Amino acid sequence: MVATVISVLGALTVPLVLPFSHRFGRRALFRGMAFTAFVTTILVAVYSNKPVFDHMHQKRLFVLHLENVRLFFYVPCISLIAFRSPRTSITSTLRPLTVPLVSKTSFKILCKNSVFLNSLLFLSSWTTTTAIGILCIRSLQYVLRVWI
Amino acid sequence: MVSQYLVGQVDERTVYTSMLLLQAFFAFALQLVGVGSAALFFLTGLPLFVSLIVDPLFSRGRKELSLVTYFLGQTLPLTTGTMLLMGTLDFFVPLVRGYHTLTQFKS
Repeated sequence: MVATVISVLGALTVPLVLPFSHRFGRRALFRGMAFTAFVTTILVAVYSNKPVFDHMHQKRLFVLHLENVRLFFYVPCISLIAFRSPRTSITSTLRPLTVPLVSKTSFKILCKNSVFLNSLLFLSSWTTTTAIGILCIRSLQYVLRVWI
Repeated sequence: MVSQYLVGQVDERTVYTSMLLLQAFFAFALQLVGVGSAALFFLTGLPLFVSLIVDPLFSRGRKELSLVTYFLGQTLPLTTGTMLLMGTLDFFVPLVRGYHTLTQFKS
C-alpha cells in the first residue's frame, strides 16, 4: 500500500518522464531501464542489510489532547513513536519529568495500568502509526493522590 | 519506463500532449465528482499547457520538443509533488518496522 501511494505521488511529481523516454529512441530507453534497475537493486541490497533503527533514528513525542465535549472530560496524553523498546523508552524518557513527583515503583505501575494506554494504542494503530508508549497525566494525578 | 518500452516507439510530442490531456481529464472528472479538490491535477496540467504553447519559440520548427519546454513543464509538478512526497515519507518511512514493535509490545 505504501509503495502504491509513493509510486502514484512519484508519477504526479515527474509526469514528463513518459514523453522524455521517447525522445532518444528505443535503444536508449532500454539502456535507461537497465541502469535504473541496476541502481535500484544495489540500493535495495545495501539498505536491506542495515538495521532500521540506528542511533540517529528520529523519535517523536506527541502531546495528544482528547476531549469529550458532552461530559466536559479531557485527557492530555503523551505518546512516543518509533522507539525500539517501548517500556524502557517511555520510562527513560519520561522519568526525568516525573522524578520529583512519583516514586519509581508507582511510575512502573502507572505505565503498566494506564487505562488510556489501550484506547490510544487502538487509535494510533488505526491511523497506521504505532504509539509505543503512552503516559496519561490524569493517571499521574490519580497516582499522586493515592500513593504519595 | 518498462511500459513505454512495451508500447513501442511513439512520437514524443504525442505523449506530451496526451499527458496534458490526462491531467486535464483527471482534474475535470474530480471536479465533476466533487470529492476533494482537483487543484493538484490543475497544478500539474497548467505548466504542461503553458510550456506547449511557448514551445514553438524554442524548438524553432524541429521535430522534437525543446528542453526548455520540459524544464518549464516540470517545475511546478516537481515542486508540488515534492511537497506531497515529503509529508508522505515523513509519515511512513520511520514506521516501517512499527507494526512488529507493536506486536512485541502486546505479547
